[in-house]
Amino acid sequence: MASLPPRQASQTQRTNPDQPSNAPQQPQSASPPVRTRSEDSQTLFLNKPEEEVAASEAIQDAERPQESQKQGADDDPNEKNCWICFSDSSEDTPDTSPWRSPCPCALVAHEACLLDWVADLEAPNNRRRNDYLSAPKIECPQCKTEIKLARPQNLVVDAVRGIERLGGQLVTPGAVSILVGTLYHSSMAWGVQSIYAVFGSEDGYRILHPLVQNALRAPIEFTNTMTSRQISQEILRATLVHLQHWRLYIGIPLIAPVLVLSRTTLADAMLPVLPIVFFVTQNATSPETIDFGTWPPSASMAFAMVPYLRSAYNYYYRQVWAPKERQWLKAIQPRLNQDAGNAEGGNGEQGAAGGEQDMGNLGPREDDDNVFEVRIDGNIWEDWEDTDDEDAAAAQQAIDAAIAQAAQQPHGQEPLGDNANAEGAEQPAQNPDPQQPQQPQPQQPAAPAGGERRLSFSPTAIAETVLGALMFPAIAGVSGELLKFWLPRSWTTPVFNTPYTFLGRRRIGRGLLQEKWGRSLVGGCLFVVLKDAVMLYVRWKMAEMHRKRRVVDWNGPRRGRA
Amino acid sequence: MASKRLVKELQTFHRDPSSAVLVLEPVSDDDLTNLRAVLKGPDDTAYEGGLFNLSITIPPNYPSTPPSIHFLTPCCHPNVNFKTGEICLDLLKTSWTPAYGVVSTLEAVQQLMGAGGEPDSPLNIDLAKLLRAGDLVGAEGLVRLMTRVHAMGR
Repeated sequence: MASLPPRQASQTQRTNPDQPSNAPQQPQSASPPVRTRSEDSQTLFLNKPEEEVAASEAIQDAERPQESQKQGADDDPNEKNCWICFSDSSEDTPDTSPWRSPCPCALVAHEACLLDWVADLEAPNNRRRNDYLSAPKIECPQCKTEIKLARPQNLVVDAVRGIERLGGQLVTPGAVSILVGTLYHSSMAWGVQSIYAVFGSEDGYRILHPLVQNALRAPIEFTNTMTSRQISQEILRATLVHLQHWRLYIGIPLIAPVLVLSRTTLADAMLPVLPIVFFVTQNATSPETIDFGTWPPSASMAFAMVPYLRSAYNYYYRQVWAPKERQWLKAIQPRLNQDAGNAEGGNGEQGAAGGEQDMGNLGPREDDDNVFEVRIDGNIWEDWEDTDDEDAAAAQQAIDAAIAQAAQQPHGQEPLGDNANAEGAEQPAQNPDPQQPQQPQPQQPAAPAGGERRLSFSPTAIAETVLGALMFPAIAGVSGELLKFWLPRSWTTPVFNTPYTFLGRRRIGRGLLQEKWGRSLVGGCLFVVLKDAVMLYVRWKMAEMHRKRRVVDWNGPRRGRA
Repeated sequence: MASKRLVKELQTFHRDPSSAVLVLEPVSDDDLTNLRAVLKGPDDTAYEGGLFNLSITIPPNYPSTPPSIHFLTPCCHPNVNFKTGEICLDLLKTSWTPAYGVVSTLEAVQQLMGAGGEPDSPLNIDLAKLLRAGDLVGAEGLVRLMTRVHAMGR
């Protein structure tokens, strides 16, 4: 917004710059206008300085006798001119409100005018100021002196207004904290579900039971007989009980966000750090989790390894399979920029038909459909893979929680995510592309990249990614259960060696698969690997089939061959 | 209060005309809250010789709130919307005080034209772009052309 120095505006009112200007209106009426001639021969009315006014007064009176009376009144030094309503004291009637001069400068005004102006400045819906929460500054427009109002005071009114103002300031923080609380508790609920999905009901409950206990704990009751010391002790105790399981309260709600985050490239940098954080912060009282040499590994250990497994798998996939996949994808692209070698029949035909508008239209339409399908497939895969990442993160959170419990229950139940699968996360992005090519389309050779991008950024794709990420723990859990049917019973059934120790029932497992979490972990990993394998096969097969397409000749009688 | 003060301002304007404002009159005699004005393009600028019609609407709680002023004649200026005539001037919004009047506000608008405006809060993007790129000659040529086409010769 353009701005001008406030006074400039009123100064320009006087064409004569020498004229002293104090109040914008005052001089206007104080000096009589004089007719004069300017250089460009335009007739102008200029206000002359006082001395000239005196000299030309006679002429002026002769010229405009009807105004001379009025001029005389304006010249009266006792004349006051309200800077708000512009009326002067000669117009005062008995009803006119008294004159006020609230500042050191020459501006005077009617009290009623000033109060109207102040009321308008303070009107909440008509604030032209930005800081509408604080009271507006009421200052003289000329000398910027604050104009003070004596207002009757009332404690109740002041208190209520103060509370109203405070309430206005608290609206945003309040809304934000409600939103955050909602998110926290939904994440918590979701995290609990995924812990059960991965660990099964028994181990899951062992991990989570402090939450349940704390949630159902009766509130502290304060009676009159309690001393303040007792009260504070009670509060301290309740707080400590919660603090003891801080990993649960922080880690479980974090499972969902970390799962979703791990679908992005952010996870590549973040996930490998999590196990370190986990080991650094874990309680010294659970030596089991640091035991690297035992088999089967503890759940904490297993889940901590998942991010590294994911990185290794991703690396392997990128090095070995990604180039081939790209090649296969390329094979089914229309040969816009590539050698005619792979697409002899169909593509050639389409290219020839390119001139026809029908074909042209058809192409794009098919393209759209394909893109849609591809998106769904690709996203699901992406989600699953991502979920793996997320699971890894979630698993670590869960591990943290489990470790926290481990102190009490020697068998730290490590929450399992099918984290191993997380490695696939990067592959899904590539998968979608292959499907697109299924139908030779007018897509650009760069379609794979474009397709990926579309998958990553369309709102549908984002929603699908998030949903897939959140579903992954359940998928891993189900895959783990399916393992039971395929593997020998002895592999998957726990053996109780020393039924009870002083710390509780202790299982001596021979393998990962005897525990629900272990099956979930392995099942999740297998799921990702299997999915990648299927996708690679489909792509390879599609490329091959694409090469073998043929256009069928018309066998019936020919028309139009007259 | 608004109409009483407006009558005063119009009286003062007739007694003591401004060099910037050539015409200031109500659109119709029975409604003082809609005024029309003719503003002279400031001398020694690209607007020189142009006569700009403006429409002025006086709000009911004038002078506590500023009059709303916009150009009827297209005015090529970085802080004036060429199509709607909207003027971006703090005097017309936040820094208004009742000490201003219609005439002094119109003079401020003329001064805004003479001062070249503020290209960082533009309503006329094309002109502001020229100014920000430093093409003062091009900007002045454009303003001169637009003034000649729209604000002269009637």
